[in-house]
Amino acid sequence: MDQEHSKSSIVEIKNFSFFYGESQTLYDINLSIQEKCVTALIGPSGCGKSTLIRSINRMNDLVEEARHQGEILFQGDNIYHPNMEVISLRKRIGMVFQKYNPFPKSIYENVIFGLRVAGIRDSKILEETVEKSLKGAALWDEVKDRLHESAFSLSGGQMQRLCIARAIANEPEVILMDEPCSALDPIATAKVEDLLHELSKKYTIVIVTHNMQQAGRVSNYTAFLFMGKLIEFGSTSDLFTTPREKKTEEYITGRFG
Amino acid sequence: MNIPERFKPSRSVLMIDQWMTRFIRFGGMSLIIAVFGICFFILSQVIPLFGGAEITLLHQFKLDSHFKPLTLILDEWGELPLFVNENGEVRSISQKDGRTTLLINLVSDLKGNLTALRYEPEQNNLLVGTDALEIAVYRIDYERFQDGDQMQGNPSFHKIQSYSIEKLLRENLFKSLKGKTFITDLAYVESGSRKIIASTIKSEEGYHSYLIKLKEASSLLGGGEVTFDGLDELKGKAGENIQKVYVNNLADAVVGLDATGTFFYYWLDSDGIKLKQSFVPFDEEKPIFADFLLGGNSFYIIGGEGSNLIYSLNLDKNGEERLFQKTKQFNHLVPTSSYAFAKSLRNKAFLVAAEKEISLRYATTENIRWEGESLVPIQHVALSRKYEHLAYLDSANQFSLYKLNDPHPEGGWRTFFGKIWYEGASNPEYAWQSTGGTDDFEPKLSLIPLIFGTLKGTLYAMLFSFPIAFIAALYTSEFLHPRLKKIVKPTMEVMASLPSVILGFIGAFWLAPLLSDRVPSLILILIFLPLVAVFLGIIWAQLPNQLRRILPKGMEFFISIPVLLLAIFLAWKLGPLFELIVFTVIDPTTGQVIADFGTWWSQITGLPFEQRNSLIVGIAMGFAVIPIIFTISEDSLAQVPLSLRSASLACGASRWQTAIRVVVPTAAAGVFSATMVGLGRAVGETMIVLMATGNTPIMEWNIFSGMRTLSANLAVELPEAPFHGTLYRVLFLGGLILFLMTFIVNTIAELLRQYIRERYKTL
Ligand SMILES: Nc1ncnc2c1ncn2[C@@H]1O[C@H](COP(=O)(O)OP(=O)(O)OP(=O)(O)O)[C@@H](O)[C@H]1O
Ligand SMILES: [Mg+2]
Repeated sequence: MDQEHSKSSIVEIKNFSFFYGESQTLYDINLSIQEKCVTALIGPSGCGKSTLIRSINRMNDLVEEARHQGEILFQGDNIYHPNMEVISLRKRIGMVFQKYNPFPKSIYENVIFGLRVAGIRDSKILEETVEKSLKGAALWDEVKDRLHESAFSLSGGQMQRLCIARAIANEPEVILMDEPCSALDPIATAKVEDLLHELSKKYTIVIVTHNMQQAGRVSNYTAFLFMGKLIEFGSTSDLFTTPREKKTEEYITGRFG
Repeated sequence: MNIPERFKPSRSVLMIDQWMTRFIRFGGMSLIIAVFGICFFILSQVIPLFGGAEITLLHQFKLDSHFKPLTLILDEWGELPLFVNENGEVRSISQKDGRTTLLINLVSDLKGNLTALRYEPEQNNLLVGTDALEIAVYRIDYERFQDGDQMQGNPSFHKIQSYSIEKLLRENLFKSLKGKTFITDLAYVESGSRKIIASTIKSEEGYHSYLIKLKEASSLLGGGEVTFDGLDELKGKAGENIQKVYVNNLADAVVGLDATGTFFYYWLDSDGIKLKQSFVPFDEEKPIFADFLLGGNSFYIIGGEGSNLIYSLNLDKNGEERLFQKTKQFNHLVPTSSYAFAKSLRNKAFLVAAEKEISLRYATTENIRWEGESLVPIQHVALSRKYEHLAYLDSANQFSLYKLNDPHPEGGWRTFFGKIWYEGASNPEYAWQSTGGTDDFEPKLSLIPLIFGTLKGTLYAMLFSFPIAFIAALYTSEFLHPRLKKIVKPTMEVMASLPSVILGFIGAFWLAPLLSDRVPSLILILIFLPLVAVFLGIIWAQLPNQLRRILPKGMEFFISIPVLLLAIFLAWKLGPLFELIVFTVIDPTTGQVIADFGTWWSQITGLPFEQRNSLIVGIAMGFAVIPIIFTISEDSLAQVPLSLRSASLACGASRWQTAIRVVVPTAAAGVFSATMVGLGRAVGETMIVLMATGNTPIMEWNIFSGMRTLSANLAVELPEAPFHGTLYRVLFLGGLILFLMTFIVNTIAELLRQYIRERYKTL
């Protein structure tokens, strides 16, 4: 099965362990993420989901005294190799955070932030990108008349979609989403979930979620983490219907977590 | 509603809560009251500066109608008014009943009848001249004695000069004057050993004016014997006869007036008398009255139509000669054929009456201090020597004596904020010079140079400190290793608590001499530092990652600091060479080519180069301001939520881009208020400017000259300012302006800060 997947796997996590100072958070994770699929990471709080997803675009570099072992390959290159350009890596692996975090700028400026820092000035490109990204994030119709208003004038759900638009404006290959719906109400959540379907046609998506139904609805593959260890990984339908591990079954049926 | 007991707050909680609410409200109110109280106090000290003069009537007596007074004289204490009658009698007016007492007859031992009388208050002389061409000069002295519970002054009259002009003319071979002759005008001035009598005689042919020079033999005991030293007739440019003569109290300037209304200015020195200038003050009017004001620099002229103005002896446009220039113009007087005039001997005020109207005016500011009207035309006016009383005599022989209360005659908006043409200056100007050497000194009290100095000092301090503090704060919050951050911040806070007197001391006694001949080095440092820093950054970016990894993140400065220090050292050492190449000038004294930045600067820009200059203030004050801006900015930069930084980095921004595009705008409000707090400190800073500049109140942005700030001015002048005097109140006014400046800066800062915060607020 591994052999079969590796053809189209875009991120390969190999024997990856992670430490915050002295305390180990991730233990020897092996996981391969398939291109243009939605991969869900589930597991009880504190099991290391965020740590793992943040390792994929090296956001953990911000944390002092963090260490890792093993490697993560992105299209075959180890992202922790000294010669890896972190900036271009992050352009290729975008991220949407748990709590929507638009910049204190206009909606327009928020979307094109990635292009601006990349030095793109051509206003035609910028405008096209704004429209395309906002459409991609299913936000265009709601904000097209107020692009130059502050991003803070949007509702929470709109802001989260704005953050998604910001992430896809860079046209990344992978989008990492850490509980993107946890701060949203059911209707906004539904909108984002619909969006995920659309996005998965173009992008590879890794999503962390606490919501089993959501994982079931949106993902093709699911990884179950427990206490920093990858307990089970497989196609979502398999994992939810016939879990191989007892822990997995207990967790998805809600007996703990 | 019945609340179960367990949900009820306890009584003590409620009581403490209530009590604290009241206490806090009380505290807040008292604070507001205290601030208002201080403002009120300062205002109450300042307001009198803008008030006019007040007078209160002391006495009013009717003199005998057969008296025809020629002049009115007030003594120093306003106790014993005198007048001189047309027959030469000096009479005092009793303040009890208005009865007059004959004191002396000035012409009793002269030949002829009194035809000319002049009172010269500066030296307290009474001059008389007769139709027998005899003159005499009397000095009035006062002897104080106790009369009951009151002090009384008893005047005595000493004849100090007396000459027969007729005899002098004859002895000096002047051709004799035809027909009936009499003396019409007189002047007498003593200045050191020089004494001058000016006298005008009318004959059938018209007027003749003569200048009699006297010489006093110097002796150890003071005044020696006075001898005659020459006689000159004064003539206009084309030989015009002079009708009236005025001599200033320094006895160096003589002004004559001819029949056409032209004034001639003669300059007197040991060589003799030179006609220097002629001027016509009015196009159409005839000059009716003229006199020198206190100090002998300003010449006050009234025309027949009521125009009145001042010509002052000022340096001309080329700055070579002192000539009369029209400097002041006053409100019109009622046109009349004779004006009554008296000048103050305390300041530049004078009292002038035209017909029924009387006004007290101030020459420097052109202000009217007080105005009044009597029922009948006024004939004579007088001011007491101390500027505490004024008196006038009207045509109905009614004498009125007033107490004059005008503590701040030189005050007013124009004095403090406007341009004024001071005596001796070649232009109207903003100037501050509160005290001078002499009694007749005109205090220059414009606050504009001080406000300018405050802004200048603040500007240079901010130019120096803001970039350093801001970049340091940005580096510390965004790039520095957290462990070092813990050391840097407290260190900066210690720096903030450094007493400014130490910074001032270092600035004045170490930095100023060090930099005075090393400006080229400083310029080189300013060029080298950014260049080297950028260069270093480029090289660092080129290095392979393996090499860069050797240094942990945030420790990069371990290599940059030695390189930058080396750059500074090199720049410092190369400075003199740089000076030798670039800043060469021809020494004006020796004619040789020399390399000296100071001389170069003065020659190129025409501005002075001083050792204690704005650069030193900028650096020294900058050091006082840097820690403030640094700590507050660093705090607000560090408070930018991590989520924004993460979002930016996740979009592919570099750390530098994140810092500039996300962190700085988001923290802009904080950085801005940090700058404003720093600005407030710089505006009010006293010790550093006091010590590190020459405290000259000049108005130029030249970085190589000093300044005087409002606060330093307060520190410099307060010890010398007499309690409740004008200077004392002006210093309070300066304080008030300082307060207003900081208030305005803070208000604008707060409004802008709120605007920025609203714009860049984070969730
Ligand atoms: N910056 C950090 N420094 C030290 N320890 C950390 C840090 N971030 C997370 N941890 C620890 O690592 C472990 C895993 O945290 P992580 O955030 O990855 O969990 P999670 O699975 O995302 O949990 P949740 O579902 O609650 O978000 C936790 O025990 C947490 O305390
Ligand atoms: Mg998490």
